[in-house]
Amino acid sequence: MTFNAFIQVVVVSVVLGFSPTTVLSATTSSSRHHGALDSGFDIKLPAPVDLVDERPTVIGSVWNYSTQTVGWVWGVLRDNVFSWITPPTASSLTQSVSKQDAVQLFKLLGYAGYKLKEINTDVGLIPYLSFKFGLARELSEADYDYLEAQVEEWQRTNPGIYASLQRKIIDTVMTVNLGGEYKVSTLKVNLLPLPDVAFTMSPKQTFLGEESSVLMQAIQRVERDLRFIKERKNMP
Amino acid sequence: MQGKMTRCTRHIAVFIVAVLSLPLTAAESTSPSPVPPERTTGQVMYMIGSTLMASYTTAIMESLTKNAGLPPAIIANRGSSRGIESFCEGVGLNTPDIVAVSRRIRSTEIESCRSHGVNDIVEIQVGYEASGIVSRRDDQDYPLTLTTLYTAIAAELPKDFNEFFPNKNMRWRDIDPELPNTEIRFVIPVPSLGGRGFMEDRILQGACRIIPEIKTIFRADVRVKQCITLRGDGRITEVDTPYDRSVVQTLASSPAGTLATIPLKFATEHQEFLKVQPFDGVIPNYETVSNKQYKFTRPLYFLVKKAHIKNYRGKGLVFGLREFITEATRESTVGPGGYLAQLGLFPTEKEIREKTRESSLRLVTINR
Repeated sequence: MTFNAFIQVVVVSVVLGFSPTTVLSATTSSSRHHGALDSGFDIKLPAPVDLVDERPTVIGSVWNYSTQTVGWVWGVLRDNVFSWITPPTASSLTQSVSKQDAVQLFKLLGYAGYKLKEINTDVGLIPYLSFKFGLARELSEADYDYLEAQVEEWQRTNPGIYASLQRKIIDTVMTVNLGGEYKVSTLKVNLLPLPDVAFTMSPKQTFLGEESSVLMQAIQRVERDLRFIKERKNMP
Repeated sequence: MQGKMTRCTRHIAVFIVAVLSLPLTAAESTSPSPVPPERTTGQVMYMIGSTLMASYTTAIMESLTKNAGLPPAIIANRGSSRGIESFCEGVGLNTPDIVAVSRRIRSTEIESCRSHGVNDIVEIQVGYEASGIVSRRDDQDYPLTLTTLYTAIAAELPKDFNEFFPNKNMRWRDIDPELPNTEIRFVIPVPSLGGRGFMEDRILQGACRIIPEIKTIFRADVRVKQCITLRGDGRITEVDTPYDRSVVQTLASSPAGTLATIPLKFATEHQEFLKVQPFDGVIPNYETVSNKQYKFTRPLYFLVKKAHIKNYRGKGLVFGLREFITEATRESTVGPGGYLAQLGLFPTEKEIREKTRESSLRLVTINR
């Protein structure tokens, strides 16, 4: 048997689902017998392999393999992918998000003076997930320098496009808060169905409404009276 | 008629004298510094600023004198804050051309500069310097953290949210049982030195970012005031220039347990007397600062008045400022193998050096 014939036998036997050694032994025995005939010996030839009779078994094997594969893929999908696209429960979300340090963007927003106020989630065919941050404290110059240093450090260690987009959010917040008369009072980060960020800007100098103004005046009056009483008490 | 004219003339004369005397009086009350004689022709540069950067400034000027033939500059080392104050007095030969600062110029100082006509400032970052905590060499180890240091030296400590009480900690062991049982004493720079600004910004406000009761104060001015006000019971000593020698003298005459904050460069120069303590778990040295393991570093800058720089047609006030900017941004000056690194300067990253060089040579001004 030539080398090319050997390779062809192996390939065909694998495709059809036969054991290559079985086929090879059948072919080599037949070739050996042919060689023996040529040499003049009288040898009984075994029956050739009947591929037609073997066909139902081959098809059955292929069918078995196919159904097993489909079953495996379905199991993977069921166990993993569906849990990815269905929204998490509120409790699992709050547990994971309460450790804000785990998420770099949330950590930097914390340095920028923002705290997580709300998590909104909708369970459905198209899930919805958003995080709302509110301004919890003003930043001093030293705080801005520290935040800038942290952003530069993050840029050095995470140069990817996703991290760049997240840094853009921090840069926008810093730019608005540092310059001009407005500040970003609320920041809404939507993760599902599509990621986006919404900034709510309000003037730095806010005006009191009528009720707040009356309340403020009442507080100032009480403060004045208390100061007066304290001074009278300290007098000899 | 003649009498009326004489009276009238007399009134006018008095009025003119009164008007003319006003500018003189005003000039006496806010008269700018007199112009040094060497500066009348604008051939000599006038530099002022940080004592920490004195050696770097001198080295750059020596190089310029040797290689470019520039006359030696007038250099006055008075501290970063005082230097910026003089720098922002205005534009003219009686004001400094360059200020060397060991911290970033603040927005309020930039506003002050602009209000006095100094509108365009070229900012050149030359490198970093690290500051550490030192004690006498024969003293024990004090492995402090941001929080323990703040708890030792702050005027008031938080009790509950929005409630503060005076700091009553007397010994280091009161704060942390692992610290030695010695009296709390600390030496810091006076407010006019750059090191004080660095300490307030990086150390005190850094500690306040961790303490929840202070971190949650909304207004920045209230929070900063709470943060940087130190105890006034005599346990904190402020020292002036020359800072390194003042620290050494103060530590020599103080009891055990007295610590000081000092630039690493000075600590290395006085290492036969001073022991560098670990801070936040890291001992500052060349390796830990270069690989950013030690985080308490501050950038060093030169600020140059663009109005004093001569243009290519020779119009401008002072000669040599362009050459200074070129020398201060050269790789052989501020790079890892440069002569400033051999004097103790920690170089910035390559990208920052290239960006600084490019913007400085184009005379890009501060935009804050």
